[in-house]
Amino acid sequence: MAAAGQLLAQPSTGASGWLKFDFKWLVIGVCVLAVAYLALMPLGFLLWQSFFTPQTATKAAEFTYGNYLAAYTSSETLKLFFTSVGYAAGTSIFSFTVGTLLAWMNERTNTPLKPLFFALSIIPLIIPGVLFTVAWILLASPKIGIVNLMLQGLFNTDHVFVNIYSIWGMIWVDGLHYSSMAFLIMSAAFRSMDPSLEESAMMSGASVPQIAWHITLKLTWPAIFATLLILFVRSIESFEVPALLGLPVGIQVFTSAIYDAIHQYPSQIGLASSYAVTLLLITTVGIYFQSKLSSQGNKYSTVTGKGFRPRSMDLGKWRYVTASIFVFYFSLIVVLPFLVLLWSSLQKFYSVPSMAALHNLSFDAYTFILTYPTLASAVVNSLFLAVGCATLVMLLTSVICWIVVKTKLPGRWLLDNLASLPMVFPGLVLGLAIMIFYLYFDIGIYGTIWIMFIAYVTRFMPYGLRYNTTSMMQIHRELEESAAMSGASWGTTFWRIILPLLKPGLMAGWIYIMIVSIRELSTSILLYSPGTEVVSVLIWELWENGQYVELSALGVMFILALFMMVMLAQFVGRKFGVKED
Amino acid sequence: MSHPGGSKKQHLGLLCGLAGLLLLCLPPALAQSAVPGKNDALYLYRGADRDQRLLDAARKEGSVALYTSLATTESRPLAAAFEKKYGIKVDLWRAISDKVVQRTVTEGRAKRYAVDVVETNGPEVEMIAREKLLSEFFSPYLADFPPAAIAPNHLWVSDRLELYVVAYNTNKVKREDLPKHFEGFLDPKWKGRLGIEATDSEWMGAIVKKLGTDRGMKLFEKLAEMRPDVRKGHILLAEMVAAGEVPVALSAYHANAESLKRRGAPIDWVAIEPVVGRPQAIAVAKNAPHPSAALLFADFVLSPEGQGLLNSLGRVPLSLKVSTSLNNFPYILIDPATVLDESGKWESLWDKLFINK
Repeated sequence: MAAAGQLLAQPSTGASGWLKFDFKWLVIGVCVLAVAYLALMPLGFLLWQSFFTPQTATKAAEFTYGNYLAAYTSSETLKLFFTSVGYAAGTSIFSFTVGTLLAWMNERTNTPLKPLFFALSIIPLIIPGVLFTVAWILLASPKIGIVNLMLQGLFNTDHVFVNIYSIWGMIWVDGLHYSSMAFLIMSAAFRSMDPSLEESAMMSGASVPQIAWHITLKLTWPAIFATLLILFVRSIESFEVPALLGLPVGIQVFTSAIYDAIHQYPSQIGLASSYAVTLLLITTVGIYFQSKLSSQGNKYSTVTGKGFRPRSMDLGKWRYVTASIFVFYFSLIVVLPFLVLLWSSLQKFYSVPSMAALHNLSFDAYTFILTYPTLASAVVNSLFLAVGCATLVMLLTSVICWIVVKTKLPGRWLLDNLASLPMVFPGLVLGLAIMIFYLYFDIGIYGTIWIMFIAYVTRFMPYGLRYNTTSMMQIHRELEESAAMSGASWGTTFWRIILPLLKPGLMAGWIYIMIVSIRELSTSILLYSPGTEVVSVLIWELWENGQYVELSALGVMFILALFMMVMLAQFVGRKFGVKED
Repeated sequence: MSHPGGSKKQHLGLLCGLAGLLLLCLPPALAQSAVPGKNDALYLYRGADRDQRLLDAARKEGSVALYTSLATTESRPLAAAFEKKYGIKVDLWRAISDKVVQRTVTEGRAKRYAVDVVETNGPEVEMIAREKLLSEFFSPYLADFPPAAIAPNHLWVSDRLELYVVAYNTNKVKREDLPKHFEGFLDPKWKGRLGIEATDSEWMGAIVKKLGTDRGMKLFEKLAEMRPDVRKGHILLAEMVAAGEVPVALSAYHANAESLKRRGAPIDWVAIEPVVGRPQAIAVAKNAPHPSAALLFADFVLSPEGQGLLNSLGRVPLSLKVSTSLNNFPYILIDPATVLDESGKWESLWDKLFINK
């Protein structure tokens, strides 16, 4: 990184200039070191482990190529891999389409009731994955699904209308669950768009769909690419939906191979790691192409010095059409599963809604949750981790992202890549790497909440980076340059110009990371200790205890609380940054 | 491990990080295997004043760290009863059995001895035993247990059982329609109504051994042709039975079905022969930081009081001093060591039959 300073335009002179220069160096240096430290440690662990046999008390670990041979010479793996790619492609395209449509309506049009829709769009993400999936089993299973039962009753047939146990069912459920992620990134991208081009198109007589397709989407191409990449990688890595919906009909995915490798004795961490290397390669290729986009200079910058005013498009009477799409979507995707949750939270055991079950309504589950011994400390710990991690990640990655997007530093995409790789570390391998590292490198954080903090920051850093990158690419250099011309230091420019303009991405990323941090389980379960329980562990505990009803009650409270937090964050966010008209 | 503590400059911190990384990559020496545990004398003491000495020492230690996979609905009441009786705090860490192994073994290798008592699935406890992290212990209550409950290496005792039973939805299936033997399920009328759990290869192994290879393998091959619904997790399987999604589960856990039944769900279970029992075991850590409290806790769980408590919570106790209605039928007890040694064979067979269809 030694070349960084030379490549940044810095019109500073004399002693005061030296000080400013120094400060910039410090910030950049600390951020780069922090990212390198956080990402290299588990990466080194993963690569190293992939060349060793498991260690036991009677047999030391030995160097081997066997893991790679076992992982990549089996036709079984190849089959799993292709199933995974198909599933991930379907899921990411579906989430992207849904999320982008919603984001477009929400940000680029004057559809009524927008502020409410923003928070509603995030609800699928808030619902714990297992609950969301089980809710869909109750809705769309061939045997007991309400949708099937109702349609069968309506048409007086026993034809199965929808089958959740299929690759399409898996894509549907996982795609809907993560449509919020696409929604958040694309919202941020649409928000920072200069409407002048859309307005000119409108003047020239283009229709709304034409404008959306030819102008809006083309301008947000980097964001589209980043969203698809992150959605694809995430769904290749997803485990819950394939386990709950694919397994009963024999659909196996790549992650089940990783899971099986870890859950043996002795645990084949090396084999799991060598599987994960493929995921690392896919990510690397994706990030490389993304960097090609960002090196195309200011082609996609929409936030320029020429009187930038984000304004939405007047849809005329069409705004009622978009409003009804919103209402339809939310009743199907948010309200329906939420009602299933609410229903089961008022029951004594999980059952299909019926008149007979109406007699069993009870609030016992809510009482149980509210008096749960570790609830208070779990909520406090989770809030601390979620807010702390989201804030730190967004600030840290904004600097990294600035280096990647705004400088011409050779090899800067490697920095981007390095910070993005933790996205595909299997959660358990990441947890184990961090656990082992801090057991030997004893700085007193093992067994405390800080080890979880480090795990969360590592795990969610890639997401923060993607959210920031999409917004950063829209900010034209000329704004920084004019700040510098007016004598602002790098720090002032960054704090007063870049960060406020980056706000849409910062906010969207912050909300996303906050929500997924509260849900994070795969590393938390290994790293938590008595006293540092978190909400996700509580959710898992209820699930494992078979307390679905209590879990649903927690889910309902969870959704309401986070819904309010998102509304609040939105309200606070509106007070800062670029004002809308 | 000595590192310059509290490094002031970040580059120094980074250096330490890299050093740590290198160190964690080097496999630690196989030192601890032959060394006898520092707590062995205490664990094996049989003098007349044992109980009093143990109690006094345990009270001085003040707390006991328990790693368990027993559901919090049962492990919390168990811990609370111990705390109430002795005034010694239980630091409860609960995770699934393989996480219990992961944490215990990783901490043990790094010589960070935090755990006192481990209570989880038998094969997993045997894994920890094979990692040389457990010690033999004496408890006056060992005499109450059947010989099969005590490990041949004396490093653990099976304190409770998980029974594989057939669970069924009472709205969809009548009890009298259920066959008396597993082979009865091969009747075509059961097609599309059966479910199993995704990881039950040891259940299959035990049944095949009991019935003899020919008859046993034929049963499971025919069963695979019926294409039963495969569900991940015994809890999920039982819940799906209660919801009517899986009318009959062949390898449900008795405790899951029983607890749903007690809550009024339309589920019941029958023990169809051969019934397989999966031992859950308790063990004390070789390097426990609170060895007396650890032993006292093990005593408590194995005592008629602790075993009775488990029984009242719907778990199957193994102590012969506790009479229970939960196991008044013959069953095969799986041997954890055999499970570990033969897991590869049965798992690949299981996956071929039921998972990769």
